[in-house]
Amino acid sequence: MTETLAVAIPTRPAEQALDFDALYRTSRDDVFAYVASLLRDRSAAEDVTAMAFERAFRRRRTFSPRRGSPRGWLFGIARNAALDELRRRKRVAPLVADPEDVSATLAAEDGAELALRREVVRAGLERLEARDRELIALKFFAGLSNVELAGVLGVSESNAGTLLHRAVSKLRKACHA
Amino acid sequence: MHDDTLTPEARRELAAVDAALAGDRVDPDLVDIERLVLAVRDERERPSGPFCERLDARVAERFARPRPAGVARALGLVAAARARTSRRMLLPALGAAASLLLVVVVATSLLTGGGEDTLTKDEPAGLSAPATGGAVQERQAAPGSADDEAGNSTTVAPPGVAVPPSTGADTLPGRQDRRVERAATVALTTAANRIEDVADDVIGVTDDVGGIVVTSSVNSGERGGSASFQLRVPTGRLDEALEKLSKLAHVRSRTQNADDITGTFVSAEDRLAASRAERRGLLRQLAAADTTNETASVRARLRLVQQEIAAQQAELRRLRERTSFSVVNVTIDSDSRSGTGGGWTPRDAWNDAVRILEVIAGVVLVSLAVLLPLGLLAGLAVFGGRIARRRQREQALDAT
Repeated sequence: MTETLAVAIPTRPAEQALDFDALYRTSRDDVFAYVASLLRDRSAAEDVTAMAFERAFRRRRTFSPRRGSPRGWLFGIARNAALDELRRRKRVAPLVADPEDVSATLAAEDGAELALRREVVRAGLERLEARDRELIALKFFAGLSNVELAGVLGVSESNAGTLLHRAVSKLRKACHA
Repeated sequence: MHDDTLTPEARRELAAVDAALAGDRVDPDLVDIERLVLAVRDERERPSGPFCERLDARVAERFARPRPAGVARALGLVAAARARTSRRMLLPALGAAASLLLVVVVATSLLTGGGEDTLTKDEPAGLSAPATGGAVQERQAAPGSADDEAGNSTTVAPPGVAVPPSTGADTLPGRQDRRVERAATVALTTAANRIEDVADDVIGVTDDVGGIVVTSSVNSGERGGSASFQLRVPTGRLDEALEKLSKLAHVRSRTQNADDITGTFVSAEDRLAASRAERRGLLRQLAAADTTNETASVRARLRLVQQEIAAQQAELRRLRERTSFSVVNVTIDSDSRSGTGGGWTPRDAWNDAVRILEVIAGVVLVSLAVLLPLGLLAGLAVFGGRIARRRQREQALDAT
């Protein structure tokens, strides 16, 4: 269980003002994980994560509870920042996921079977299209609800559910292949 | 196009995903989804400790950016000013200042009487002019013009006045002593309670310049009044009279006419000279007449010629009077802005307020007419820019 997922997502009345500090505390790691999955570059993900929070801080007065949750709003900002970074680089950065630590952890704690499963999952994620991988990241890494997913992607809630189900199905097939 | 309709099985699987993410148990047949969720979640990247510390620090200092000392000081002063004056106080103050400035500008333009004065300087197109000869309208006759030298019944046109040639027999190019009939109209405005005083002054000016008041009409009352005069003043002192009349009250308009009647005058002189020559010839015939019948015939002819000469002399006198005296029409009207006491009354204030609101409404309307299309174009540009940027971002995602 990661630290971020262990923290309950704060719910607030629609009219309540944005509590930026609380949003930061509960979303920092999730935003980083999501941005890193898009960029596949830890260094760039750090920069973009910091940039996303700074943008959110400077635009915090523009947040309107009627247009979605604070997390959905924050991940929309993070998504734009990450895509701007992709546009700027115009290339796919290699994944820098500190493989040495992962291998060491696997060897020490989980054994060969778990290591194999993770390799399968990682390979399945790699085979996914970028949009499906983004959906998986928003759902599995950030824990967004379907409503928040729809807000981030700019689609309807039912459409977001359909897209998410397709992405999960593709991942299941990729992992079982 | 996506099919947004989820099957019950798909809903069940998505519910299993949510349950696994929340740490709840899932149905046994969907346990592979639970394992997948846990495995994928274990793949998530975690930020490094140093990065978290740096970002925590930046958040703690509210993403402050280092600035040069001068800029920081200026921003500090601005922040202090903003702290002293909140936005809620500043906006009404700015609005009040802008409104006050607008009111001052509009009121100044109104109270200085720009609009009507502009009209008064124009020469009315319908000014009556004698039928003979060509009519010339002029704004003001130059003081000390040739009229001042004309002490007799002859008026010479001022050098600066272009007198158009008459048509037909009246055209006498090269003649220096032009016969010009002049007329003027002066429209004055004053406070309603000063109508009678100004009317008395008009009569006084007429006397001063040796003129006569042909007709006069004065109508005064508390709510306003008017007066009109027809004056005849010596043409040689017309400019002096107009100058004095113009000082009696506010001049709303002032026009002068010059009508060249030289041709008519010369024709009358020629006819008189011819008649006199004929009379002299008839007198010689009368002296040489031998018979009674011849004498009677010449005497009869002489009587006719004598009548013609008398009529022609009367015509010449009329023409000389037209050129030696000028007709001046003077009108005096009460000025609505001056009210009854010349002060600024509540009624004036109300009228000015309405006028100012009309001007403001006009300014707003014109501004909207300009700004709305520009705003629409700007909005379309922003909207198009957002769509283009969103599309470029999505393309960047597809390219990965």
